[in-house]
Amino acid sequence: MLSDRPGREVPKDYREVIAYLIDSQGWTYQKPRGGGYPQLRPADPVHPPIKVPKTPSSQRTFSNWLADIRRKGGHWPPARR
Amino acid sequence: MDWFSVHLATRAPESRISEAELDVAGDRLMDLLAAHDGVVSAGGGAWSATVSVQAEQARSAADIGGALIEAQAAEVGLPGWPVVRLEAVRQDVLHAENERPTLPALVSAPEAAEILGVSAQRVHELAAANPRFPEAAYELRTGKLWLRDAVVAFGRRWERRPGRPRKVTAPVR
Repeated sequence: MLSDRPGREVPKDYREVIAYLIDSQGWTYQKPRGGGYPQLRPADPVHPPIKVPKTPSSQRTFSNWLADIRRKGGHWPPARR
Repeated sequence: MDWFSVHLATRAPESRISEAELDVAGDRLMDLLAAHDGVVSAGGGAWSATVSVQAEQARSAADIGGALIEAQAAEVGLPGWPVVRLEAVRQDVLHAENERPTLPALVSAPEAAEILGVSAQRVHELAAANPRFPEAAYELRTGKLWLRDAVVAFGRRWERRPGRPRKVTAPVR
């Protein structure tokens, strides 16, 4: 399945994480259809897609979102080199 | 009172709701939980949500956050599937965890050699002959990869003997 690229529909700090997950970990992203939320699909299809906030949110929301990505097998931050 | 991140996950015993309905209900739950720093995932016979709540301790945070998520989920029509996970983490602890990479640092033989101050060939000898040398985490066609921390730890414990190491002879087949 081809992935959309994240754009201005999501806040910048979210965009950076999404682009990394698409480019290096096989995750896919789907822009919102209609009035819904964008979705980030884990590489492992056993995990349900994670919705992405559309407006700048608190640090706590970002933290909760990152934790959900890590829980579903996503690797962030990028590994040390 | 501290801030806690509370995560609740459900799984369907059998799915009677379409993916499209689950998706729409998940979007509505995102709207409702926005005021609580909410994040939602939904699809494939499961849904989960994370919120932030203030509480005295993790146990009460799990109760408050779990109840909040379940009430709002019922309001948007998400199925009341069995809860398979409910966890509360103090927000500063979660933040610190998020900062740490989930992928461990790996090294190949030349990098392990650099850490130990020996040649790459010596690393292979150590791996073959020294029972305390860490097992390779991965063995690829191009060579072995070790966990960097394990090699560093070995280097700290390793009692080096001066002089030329004994030759490792290959087993006769």
